[in-house]
Amino acid sequence: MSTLIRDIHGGWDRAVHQEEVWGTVVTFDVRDQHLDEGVLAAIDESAAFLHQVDRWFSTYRIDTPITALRMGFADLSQMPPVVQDVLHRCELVKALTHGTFDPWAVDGGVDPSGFVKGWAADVAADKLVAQGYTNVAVNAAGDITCRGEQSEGQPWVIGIRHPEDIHTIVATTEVFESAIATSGEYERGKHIVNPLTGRRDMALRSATVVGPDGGMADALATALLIAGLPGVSWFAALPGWSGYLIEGETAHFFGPAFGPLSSAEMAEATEQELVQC
Amino acid sequence: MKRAFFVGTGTLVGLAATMSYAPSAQSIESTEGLGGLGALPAPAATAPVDTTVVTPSDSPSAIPTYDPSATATPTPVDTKPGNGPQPKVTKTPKPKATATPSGSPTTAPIETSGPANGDFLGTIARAGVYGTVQVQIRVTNGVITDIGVLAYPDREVESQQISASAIPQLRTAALAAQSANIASISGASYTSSAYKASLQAAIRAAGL
Repeated sequence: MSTLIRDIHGGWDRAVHQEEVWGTVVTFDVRDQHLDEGVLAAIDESAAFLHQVDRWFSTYRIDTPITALRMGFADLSQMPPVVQDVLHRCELVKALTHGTFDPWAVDGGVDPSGFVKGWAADVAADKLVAQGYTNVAVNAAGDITCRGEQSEGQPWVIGIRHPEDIHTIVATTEVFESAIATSGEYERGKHIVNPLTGRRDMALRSATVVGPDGGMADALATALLIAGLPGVSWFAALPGWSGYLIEGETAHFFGPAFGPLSSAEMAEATEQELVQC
Repeated sequence: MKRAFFVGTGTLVGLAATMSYAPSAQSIESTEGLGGLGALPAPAATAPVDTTVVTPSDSPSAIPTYDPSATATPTPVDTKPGNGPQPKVTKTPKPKATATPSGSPTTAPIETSGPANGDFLGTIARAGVYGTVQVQIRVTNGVITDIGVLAYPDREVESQQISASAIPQLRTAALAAQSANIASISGASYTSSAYKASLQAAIRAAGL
């Protein structure tokens, strides 16, 4: 369903579209001072890309290149360039996370799904920007890519959901050109496995990252959920990235998206929050 | 920007001050998937797009002010004194999970007669044992004009909802200042079945 709304906050128009794909729902949100009705066609075109992503990367379909690769019917050199490119990016993230994110270490063959959703959100948003709709947010079931502004001169304001309380936002961040991804098991249960130990115990209740790349954000959020605070050892080496990690009853956050602590907050945090680290 | 991670230098300001950790990074593998790439029918089966255009001229009240209190859905309200405009960092106990109104969608019609108007919340739908999502629809003169997930699509969000978190927040005062006008919510992936169940409840609640 698409909706074009005139004259919302700040006098800007807004177009919203929800696309059902990948077993979930992706929301498009386009803003501008004036949106012509062509925006809806542009959104449809971008949404069509998400279905193309499914035809490349679905591990649930028999007719996709990734399934052929997983089953040994084809090798990497026979993959479409886009599949090779995504797998190459996954290799980089695997290295960056010291193997915590490893699409190759799962039963059934390589599965880049933990990267693809955020990557696709980036591409879908950029397709709209290329059409001249420069103020875009694409929310791929919780993984968000932002481009441009939410209203005139204003950043996109993104909330981070409480792990259990669906009505509560635990933090917000304001961004212009960024990707935001959250990983947690509160929606779909203990679906993340550590194949080395066979255990499904995650170090954190929720891990949110903000940074310049959607695919990386998707993968890094999951890797931090698994690794917990020790994962910050490699995450800290990535310039331009921020994190908001919920461990037990404590929220740990850092990086430009969440701002530095004031000295007073720092003192209090040191006393009350960091003792257990 | 996509190549930014090739730059091996640089650190996040304040990181060292806020975090300390054991240097022994765990080597654990990730297998999180999309939970159903390809779980849907072929793209050709995608439902036709329903397009609605709302302009102020044909619907003067197209954008009613979002009023969280207008819904009957239990919303956590933090009554602890520490959550005023300048709360201190406190260890708050973990609250019980929000009660789910089983099978009883909540309604918040702005008008009591004539075509439905206003915002309607769907149930907090569960897909199987896990998976929760709540959908809110905006109805103008009996027509759905907006659908939001988690009931926060570009609406004014009261600060009390923000500060009611179970997670001790270090920057609650700053959050209150930022909280209005949240455009989107980042969270763990939900399933389309949970989404649709909640949406259906919202539509029933609106009497459409």
